[in-house]
Amino acid sequence: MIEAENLGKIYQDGEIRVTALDDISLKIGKGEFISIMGPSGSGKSTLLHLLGLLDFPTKGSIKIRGKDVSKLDEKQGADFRLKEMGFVFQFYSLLPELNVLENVCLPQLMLEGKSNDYAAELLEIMDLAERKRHYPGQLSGGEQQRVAIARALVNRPSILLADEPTASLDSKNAMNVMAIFKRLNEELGQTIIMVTHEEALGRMAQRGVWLKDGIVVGERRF
Amino acid sequence: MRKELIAFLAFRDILKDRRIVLLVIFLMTFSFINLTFFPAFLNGLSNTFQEEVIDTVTAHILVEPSADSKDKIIDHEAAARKKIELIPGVQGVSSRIVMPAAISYKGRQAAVPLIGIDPERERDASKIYKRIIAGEFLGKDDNEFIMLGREVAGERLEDKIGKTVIGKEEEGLGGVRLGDIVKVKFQNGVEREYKVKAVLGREVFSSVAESAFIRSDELSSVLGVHDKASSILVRLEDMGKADDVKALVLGMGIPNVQVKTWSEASNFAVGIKQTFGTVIYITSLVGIVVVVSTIGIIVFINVTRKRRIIGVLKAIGMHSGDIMFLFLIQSLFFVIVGMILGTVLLHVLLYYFSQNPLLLPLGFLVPSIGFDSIFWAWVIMFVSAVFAGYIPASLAAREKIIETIKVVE
Repeated sequence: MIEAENLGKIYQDGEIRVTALDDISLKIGKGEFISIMGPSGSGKSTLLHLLGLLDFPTKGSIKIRGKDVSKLDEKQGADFRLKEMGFVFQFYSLLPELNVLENVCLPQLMLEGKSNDYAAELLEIMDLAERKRHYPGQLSGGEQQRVAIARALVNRPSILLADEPTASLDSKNAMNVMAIFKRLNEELGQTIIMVTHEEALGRMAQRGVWLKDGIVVGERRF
Repeated sequence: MRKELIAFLAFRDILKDRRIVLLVIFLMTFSFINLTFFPAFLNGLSNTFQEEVIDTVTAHILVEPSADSKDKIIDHEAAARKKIELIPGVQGVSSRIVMPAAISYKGRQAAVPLIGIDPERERDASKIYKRIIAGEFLGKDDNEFIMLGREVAGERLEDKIGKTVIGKEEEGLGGVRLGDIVKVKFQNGVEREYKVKAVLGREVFSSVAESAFIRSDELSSVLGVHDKASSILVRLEDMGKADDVKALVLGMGIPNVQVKTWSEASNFAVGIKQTFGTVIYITSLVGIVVVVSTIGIIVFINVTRKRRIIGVLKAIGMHSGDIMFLFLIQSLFFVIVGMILGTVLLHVLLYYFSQNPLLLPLGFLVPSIGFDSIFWAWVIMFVSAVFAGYIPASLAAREKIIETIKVVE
């Protein structure tokens, strides 16, 4: 489903060139749950950003369902993300002025111009149905992250990308989020790419990829 | 629908902090007032000047001897006056003879412009009859009477007690009263006595306050002239037609005269209007800077506070143009509400001051502003808001997603 070939990313800061990723090739199948792990500065978030079309690679290509998406311009990339991808970030990143249901419906409204019952269904799945009229400021961190997951899924994306989704949560809420990911993957066949620096959580995926200094240093099925 | 969604998000964000919203709207409202009411105030002030000059000195059209005329006098004034009276739209025509004279009373003397008028015609052409403070306007056979301007007559100390005092007690003739006899020494050496029939002027500035008036046939007889005038005042039913009537008067071929509209004749009033125009221009620039700064700062602060949310919105598929539109809507909302409230407040103020004119030393002031000035204030506010909102909004739209989503709030 996702094919990254010879992917590289170099950041130029004045005279200094920093190679964040170097020649990474990776294939991720439909319905796969993969975790990308490694120490800080290993390039795992950079890889996720490239796979999620949030940044452009310096070299290499990314194909999603056979389509070379690394050449999409900013607008095309935004449209592709809206239709095909869902994002969960480390910080809860909800709009504070919208209530839970409105936050979840937002991508749906952006894509279709109207909302349907799926947002409410997702809130049921996330055990947040009672909280749908609450505002983010009235929710705990774990609840906010579950709202963010529901928002990421509302357009039924083919890929869910999560960048350190549990880093801001306590262990109980972190396990809760991981359980949701596992359930989404196993019951709905959701393709998930998750970046984490916590190996114990990464091992809950089907496959792990380890990065160090911008290159793949290990790969294992769990 | 996408634009509707952006508008929805923009308004939700605006309404999040109502105190800030009220503060910004308050600032926008008063910025609009600054752009309109201050000019209206100055406009009213120049109108006060202008009306006084028209009502007492120039009327709407002023016919004077031409600059190269030898004795600075209009010959055959009666014929000229009668021709002008036939022009449609002319309400009144009055000839005046003006010459310097010295008036004395109880040992005091004042040098004044002495103006000879035809009282009946003057009532149609000017409004000096409305400037009577005490006494009566000159009548048909009042050749032995004189009307003195307030500052010429002066005031006695006992008359000033309890009143608004304009000028000093030692000014003028020191307090001439109605019925008193004053002696006038004309330029040709003739001296005559006149009984004071009226004192002219106002509690505030008036150009008649420094002049004296007698009948023009009296002045002509003293000077030994006939059918001559220093100026002819023409009052129109519609002052907007001054240029047309001026052209018609010029076409009559009255010899050795120059014809001026009120704006050409009253350089002083026009100069004041132009000066006020410059002041208005400068204060408008200040007003624009206030609008641009306020909107710019508000949007900039909002953009800075929302960097991560902007990144998230772009990450989930919002276009840069939508982000820009979101912040532009906010700046336009503030300015449009400010414009609406400002327009309402402006009209309330204009109505209040039309019912309660301000009394200034220069006269009664009624602030006045035309629709075109209000329209331009709208345009200025709107363009300022777009400009002020555009810069931070475009900065927000251009932010790289990966730079913004890392921001910790």
